[in-house]
Amino acid sequence: MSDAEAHEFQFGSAERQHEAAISGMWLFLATEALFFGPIFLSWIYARHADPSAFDAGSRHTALMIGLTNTGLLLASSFTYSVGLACIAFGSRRGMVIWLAIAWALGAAFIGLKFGVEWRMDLKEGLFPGPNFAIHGPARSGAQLFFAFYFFGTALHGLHLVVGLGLVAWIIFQAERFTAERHSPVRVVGLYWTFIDIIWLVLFPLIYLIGRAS
Amino acid sequence: MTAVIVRLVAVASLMFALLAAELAATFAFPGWGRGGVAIVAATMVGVAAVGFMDLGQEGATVWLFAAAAALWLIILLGLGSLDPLTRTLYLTINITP
Repeated sequence: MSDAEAHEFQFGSAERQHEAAISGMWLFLATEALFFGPIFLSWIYARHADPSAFDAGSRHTALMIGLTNTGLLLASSFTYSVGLACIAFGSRRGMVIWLAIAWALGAAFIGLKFGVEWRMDLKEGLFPGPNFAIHGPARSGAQLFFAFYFFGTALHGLHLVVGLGLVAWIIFQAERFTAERHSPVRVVGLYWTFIDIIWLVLFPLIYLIGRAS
Repeated sequence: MTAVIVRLVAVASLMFALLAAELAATFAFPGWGRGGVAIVAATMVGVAAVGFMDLGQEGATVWLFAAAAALWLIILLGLGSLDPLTRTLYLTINITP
């Protein structure tokens, strides 16, 4: 494929087009970091108000599920990166296989988080409100913790669902990508790993800090 | 391609080792406390950005956006948490007639 065919008309070269796509995604991810920033700030505020009660809420979370989910996302970032390397070296079939594995790992995360963990939490009465299961002096702080937990994980889950849609789109459009022209695969990969990074921050805030105290 | 795969396996292994260190900081070494967990988590974020997102191979524009995101977050979290972390609460006595 000649250079003129490999880029859209508004870009001087394929390299400039690739550069614009990657830079644009990083700018978007910068705004996403700011989107999640206030949620992390709310954790600092809510925990500072009553640390022992907030940590008591944290100790009611399912650590093993959280840990398994962290492993799933780390593995999915790895498999996506291998898929990206495959297409960069011209193996479209390899890309599809590795991206399908990354998609399955992401879907497993969603299934565990919302199909198992949330269901357990709701069954145990951990959703903040009049029927909240934790009583005594820790009740108020624990409710604050679970408000953060449900909001933070729902927002992260929503991003992951969008990511699953994008990865599926890349897989179905695989015929379009070559070793020379695969910027969308790279751009979606940045978003996919960013979702992993957000979870790497949420995981200790939800499951570990309260237990480390 | 083999070199790339080897590098990715190394990055993934490092991430899982850091996850183990995070758990160790929580349960096995209580002396490390919350600070230890936070440091390991921040390291994991950095390793993912460099290892999986190839930040090290990007140009100046990408670095500018990544640095801007870090700066905005530092300002947001730093100034935002300054108030609750430095405020002293004094007990007051309400005397009602």
